Amino acid sequence: MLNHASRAVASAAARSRSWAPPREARDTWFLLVVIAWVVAPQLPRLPVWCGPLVAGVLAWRGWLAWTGRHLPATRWRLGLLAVALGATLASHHTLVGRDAGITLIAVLLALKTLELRARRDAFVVFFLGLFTLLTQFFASQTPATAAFVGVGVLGLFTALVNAHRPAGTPTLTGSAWIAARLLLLGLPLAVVLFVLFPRLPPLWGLGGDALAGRSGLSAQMEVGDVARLALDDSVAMELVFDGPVPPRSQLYFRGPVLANFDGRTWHPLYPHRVTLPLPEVAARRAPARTAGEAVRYTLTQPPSHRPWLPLLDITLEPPQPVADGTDSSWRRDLRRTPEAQWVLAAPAHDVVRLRAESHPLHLIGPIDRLGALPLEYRELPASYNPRTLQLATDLMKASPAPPDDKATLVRMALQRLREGGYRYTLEPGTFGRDSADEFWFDRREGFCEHIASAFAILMRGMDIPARIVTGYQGGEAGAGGGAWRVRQSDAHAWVEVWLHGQGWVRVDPTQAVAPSRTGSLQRLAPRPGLLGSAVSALDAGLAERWRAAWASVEALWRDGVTDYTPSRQQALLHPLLGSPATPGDLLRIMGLALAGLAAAGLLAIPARTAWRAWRIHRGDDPLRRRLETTRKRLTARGLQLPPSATPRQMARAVHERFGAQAGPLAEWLAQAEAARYGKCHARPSSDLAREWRQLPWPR
Amino acid sequence: MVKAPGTSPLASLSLGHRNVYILPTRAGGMLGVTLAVLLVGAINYQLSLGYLLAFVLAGGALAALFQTHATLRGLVLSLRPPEPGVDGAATALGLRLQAPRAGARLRCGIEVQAAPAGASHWRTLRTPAVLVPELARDGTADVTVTAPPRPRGVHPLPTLRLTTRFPLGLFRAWAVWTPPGELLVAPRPEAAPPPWPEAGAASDMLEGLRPWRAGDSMRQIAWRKSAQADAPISRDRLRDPQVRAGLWIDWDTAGPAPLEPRLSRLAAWLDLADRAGLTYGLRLPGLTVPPQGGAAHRRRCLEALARC
Repeated sequence: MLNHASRAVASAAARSRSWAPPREARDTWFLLVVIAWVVAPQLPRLPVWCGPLVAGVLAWRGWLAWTGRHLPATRWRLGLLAVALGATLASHHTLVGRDAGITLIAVLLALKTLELRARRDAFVVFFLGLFTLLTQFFASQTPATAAFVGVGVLGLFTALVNAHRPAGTPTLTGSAWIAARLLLLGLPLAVVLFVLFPRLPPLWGLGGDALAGRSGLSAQMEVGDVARLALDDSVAMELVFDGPVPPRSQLYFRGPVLANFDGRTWHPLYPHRVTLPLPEVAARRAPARTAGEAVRYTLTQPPSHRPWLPLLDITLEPPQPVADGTDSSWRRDLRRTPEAQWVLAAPAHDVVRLRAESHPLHLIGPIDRLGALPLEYRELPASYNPRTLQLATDLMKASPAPPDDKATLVRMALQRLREGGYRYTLEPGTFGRDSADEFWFDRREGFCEHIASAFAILMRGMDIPARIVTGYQGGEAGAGGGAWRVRQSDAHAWVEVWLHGQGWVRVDPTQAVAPSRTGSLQRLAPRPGLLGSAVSALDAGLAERWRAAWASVEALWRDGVTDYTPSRQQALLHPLLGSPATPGDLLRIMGLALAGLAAAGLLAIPARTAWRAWRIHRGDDPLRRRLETTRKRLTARGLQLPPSATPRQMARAVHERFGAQAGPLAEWLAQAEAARYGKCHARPSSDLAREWRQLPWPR
Repeated sequence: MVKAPGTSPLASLSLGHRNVYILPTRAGGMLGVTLAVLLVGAINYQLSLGYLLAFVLAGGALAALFQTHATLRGLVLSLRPPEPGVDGAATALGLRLQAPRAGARLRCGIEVQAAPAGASHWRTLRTPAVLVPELARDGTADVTVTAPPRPRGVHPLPTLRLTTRFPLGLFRAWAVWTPPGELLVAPRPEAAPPPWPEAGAASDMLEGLRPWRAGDSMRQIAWRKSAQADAPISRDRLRDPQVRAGLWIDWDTAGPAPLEPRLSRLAAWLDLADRAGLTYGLRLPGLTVPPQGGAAHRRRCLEALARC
């Protein structure tokens, strides 16, 4: 046994001899790891050159620390900085703005390590790291992201604590404990501030890039730019239908309509400003012919931070607020575009709840006056997609119907999609300059954007007015027959063509390529991950339960954290105030709560002192009680002492009776006397209490 | 806790809310700006988790404020009686920090600095700060602080300042203490003092030792003692009982020089005698220290020189 132990000790010693990095190197490595942790999740969204640059710089710095070499000379650092600035400028065409800022911060964070003496410059890394952590929320605010960022914050705090422990080689775990303790102690304050700090609308107008990068709908469509469509499962909206849910093939939710095509990107024809405010909407109903029953429903949209209200196609009457006390301020901002899309004058930063009435079966627009349509619906940029234009000519020549029977041409194009070996895929890769040519002739695969764009170009090539409508399609029933749920991953793009005698007609070319995408209940799902497939293989029921539990966690997270909006905040405080809380009220309540916290903190110490004094006054004095217990224990061991014995008398008696083995006890008694009657230098009572509990008792 | 006699503290002070001060550092100000920018970013981009991040950081910073203050709060400082210093040289002060054992681990990175009593410009001070990286397991730390050099004489004890930025460096807590008591500064010993004057009984000493005189044979020299004293010392054949009474270091024999050089010479002789392990007495105008040996005696003599 002894042998084993000593061998273990020896090998541990050998290990520590062979693996004992100097403190400076160890701290530098730790900081490099923290930086890598903070920057890594950003890399997929940064320009391509960022990843190799950051990884290379960090690895170089780690190697310098390992070999104990000097840091690179100033000209190297300045050169690298110039390269990074130039590359950022080349990638973003600017150095300001959100995306360029994120790139710059990440690169600077990595470059800073090249002039880093771990302890001195910990602050620079700390501040830059905090900004980098914030930028992760632009992309995602899931619980996983929050946990990831939490670890990053802990890492940054640990590095800072470590920098302020100058002695020898303190353990990193020790520093991490101190950092975690600080964060935990600060948590009550963080919660109070989070709940009560007034939620404000954006303080000033956001730049054009403010909403880019968020998944879901966007104001324009750049075809062929996305190599791999990432499906975002967050909920875009929830609907409760008054009657049965309409068939999925009718569930098209109308978002931005795009009609201006420059060869690469589809833009809306009507900029956001050209909209009809509510009074005019009432006066100028969109010309439309509807069929069948109207569908009535209540729609709840979480804060989308976008101005669009994707209502069920087509909604002619303005949606109404729901009379259940929820925020209805959106109603002031309600507008309608000439293309029958509902928008708000300002992005919806709060939950929108509304009641609306839609007609899934409809035709809109002028029926037979082609001249009433803007020319843009028929225009194509010159010298793009020549093969598609040739295809258009060929189709028109091959058409058995008279040239002005455009409906036949549309059918022929759809038939080509259906029978031409075209395939729906979420990973089409990037497309070149002539995206429609590539889709029709070379790749023959893509997702809804490629298909809709290529189809619309073909239509215009045959002189059929066409436009692209983006929005959502389909959705799924919530668990347990709850609300109908539409997710961001249900975002879709389809085409509307104008046919003489009918007006605008919806054509969904994606349905021709992949009927399952819109027809039946099953959406094209991405392949499950390794873990996911393993779980499904083991027990489908378990996977289902797991998914349901996770869904409820996500719902809680969404309601409590990510979508904690002004209206939720007001609803929370409504019972307390009896009226909707203004930001001023919130500030007052927050001030009160903070003052309460501070008062509790301030009063804690005098309260403890008073509590102790009161206990001593009552005769319940810890030291006296301990002396009394000591006396009783000594009595049990055969040493009779009168209750009036002082600690000093007790110490002497103990010493006489038990000799050297009672040394610690006698020493403790002497200290107890000093603590009670001594002037200064008395041991704190907490130390005495601890030592008393650990005393060896004489036998 | 058994203390050797003579080391009982001269003065002590416990640090509490009344005497520990705290202000944010420049880095703390930077964190404030950073938090404001994070909050504006969270508002402008409507990032709920951005709010949370800013508030968690604010909470952590506030906890650091309390932790920094608590690094000093609850410490008991005690100063050991300082040895007399030497004119123009820095004086060492023995300071003991004691903390309750609970949480002693969290008292890191305390710097101690001394300034002449009443000094108000700490920034311009050149005295080195002593870093106490950590307290020992029992919650104590012994520090030797260097007090700035003072001229010969009696001075008030220097002002001590304890500073810490632990744990995050966002705040700086400090406490200032001017311990009651005085600091004695003895004259600087003359570099090359003349030998003791031979007049009277002053040239005799215990053990029959005396400074070397021309004419003493090599055999007479006590080599070991001479090496210790840096000056040749001879064995005296005379064993006069009067000589055994000890050597007198006398103000009157130190020459007619002005006060300070004269005191310097006395100090040099005193040093010489002490290093040779001799018994000596000190005669000053109006003060006589009877012959004796040992550290306490030397201390008493130096005090007498300092007060002169």
